Amino acid sequence: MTDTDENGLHPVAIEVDGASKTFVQRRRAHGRGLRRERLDVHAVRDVSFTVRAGEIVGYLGPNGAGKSTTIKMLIGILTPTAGRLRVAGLDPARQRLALARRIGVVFGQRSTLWWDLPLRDSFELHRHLYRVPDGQFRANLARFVEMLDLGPFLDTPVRQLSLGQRMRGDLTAAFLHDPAIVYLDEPTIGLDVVSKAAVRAFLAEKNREQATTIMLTTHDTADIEQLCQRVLVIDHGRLGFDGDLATLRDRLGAERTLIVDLADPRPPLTVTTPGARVVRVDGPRQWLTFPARASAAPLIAEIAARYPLADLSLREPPIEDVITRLYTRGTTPKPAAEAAAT
Amino acid sequence: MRGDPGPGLADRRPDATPRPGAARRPGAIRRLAGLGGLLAAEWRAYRLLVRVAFREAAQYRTSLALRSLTEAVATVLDLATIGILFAHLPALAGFSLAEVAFLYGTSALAFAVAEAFVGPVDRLGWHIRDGRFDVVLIRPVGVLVQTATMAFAPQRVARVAQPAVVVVVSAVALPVQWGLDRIALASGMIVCGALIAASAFVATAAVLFVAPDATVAVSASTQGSALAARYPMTVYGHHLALLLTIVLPIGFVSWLPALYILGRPDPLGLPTFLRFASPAVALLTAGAAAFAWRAGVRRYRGTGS
Repeated sequence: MTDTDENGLHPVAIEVDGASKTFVQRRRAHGRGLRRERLDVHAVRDVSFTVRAGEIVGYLGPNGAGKSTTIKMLIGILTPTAGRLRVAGLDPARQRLALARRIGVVFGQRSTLWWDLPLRDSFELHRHLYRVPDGQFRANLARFVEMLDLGPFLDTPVRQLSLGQRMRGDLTAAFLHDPAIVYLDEPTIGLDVVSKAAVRAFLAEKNREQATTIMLTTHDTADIEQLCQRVLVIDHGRLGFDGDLATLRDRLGAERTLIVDLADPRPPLTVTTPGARVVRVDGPRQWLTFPARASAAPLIAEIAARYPLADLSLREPPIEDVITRLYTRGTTPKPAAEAAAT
Repeated sequence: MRGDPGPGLADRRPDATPRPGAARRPGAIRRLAGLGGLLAAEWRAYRLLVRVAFREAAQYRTSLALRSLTEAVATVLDLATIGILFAHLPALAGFSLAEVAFLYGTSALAFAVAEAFVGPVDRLGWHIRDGRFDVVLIRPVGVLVQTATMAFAPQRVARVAQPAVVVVVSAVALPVQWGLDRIALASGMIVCGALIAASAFVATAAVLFVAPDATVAVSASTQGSALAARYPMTVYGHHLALLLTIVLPIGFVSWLPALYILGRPDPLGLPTFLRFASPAVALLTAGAAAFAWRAGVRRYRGTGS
């Protein structure tokens, strides 16, 4: 486990201070012959946050918001246009190779494995390139094979693996050298339920076991709910939120949904619980929303007292809705720098 | 040996692998020691990745055998061109068949060796296009070593066979005394020539960082220089020959040192010491290639495309 400092805080793993990345696009201007227009695309603007060792942070935002650009700057693939980044005490832009041994990276849409080699050989090659001591390599591999159930396809060439199998292989490769920090860019995209669960369990276990700092981007609600103690939300290159999921929901006035199955079809229920209202009716089933921060008990009690109830279930506000609200509101719930300081 | 040590350092920093006791040594020596350590590490990674390429290719044994055969046969067709030329002419630009064969063999061998080592760098444009280049930047291995091995084609190595045979046969046929000087110069010119050719490949491929779609143009220009270096420079006429020799240093791949071995005056009238300048030219081109490559990597990391 990581040591804590005198304030009980874990050491800083990732520090981003006013990082910006601007791409220059040139495109042909209309009606101006071969002249080209210069277009500045601000992929990331003045983003600041700090991640401490052992945290699992969800990095959220719509496509094109600047998530991948931030991750690429943290790896050292891209150099920032302005600002300062420190990862494991190193400057990713200038010390990419030294940093590469201390981090792990999983791109959901792109494998780092060798296409024509059996999975086992890819790991072996990875061991050499990352100079993993033999004992450490064997112990890690044995453990990961067990955790991710790699046994049945260890000797299969990567090109013949299913997406879920390949992702488990990529995950293994990213953790083989015991990195202090791991970035995952949409690690569960396109996976079946079983593989998704395996990936999440693995990440949670590695985080608990070795305090591996994990930063992941995802569009999957369950990834965030099951893994992330903290979320960062980026949109149009700016950091819009930095805090835990409950706070995000709360601050955005998100609503929970109560699904009620009545004994028989009825017109929309009339309820007096503050903030609650029926949003949908389908036969005997009705959907009611109420503020996320309120307890469901009074509402359930009211309905049970007044109507014949067959069944009911409660849904948390889907993270997509929460994020959509964040974007459409167009306002930042709280300045990112302030949130990071708390 | 892989041709050029310089570009292997692309974005490597001497402090990447701190060694115990290194802090006590003076700066310059420490830097040199660090550089040596890095080169050794990169060379190790290079060999490892090439072995992997062979292992991957071995999965398709028949295909590998057939392709190697095709490559070897294709190079024999090159040779036929020269045969046809001499069937009609007694001499080419004043050079006999054995002399032309020697020129051809040494330059073709240098280019084939360079191609075997760093040939796949011209696929860089593809890797950038389909996003695989980002994976290169994740790994703790230099960019050049990975790019040179990513699309490594083991069958290309077969191309070395034909020019090697031609060099030996023509050397025997040449009416010259094979003393120590000539043997040293001949082997030196092949090593330096390979280094110059490899540098040219790398420097030209660096263009792909700016224009990833230019793969075909880049291949054409490297294949073109390989072709140009095979004949006596004088067949191109005085001005073009000067350009090819001095500006693009392909004259140093085999032409200038070969003039000494053949015991001929320089038709272009260049100073005699240039015949022994190939090592210096090789180092210069390697330096230029390293510079171009690093600038390319820096640009990619700046623009991300």
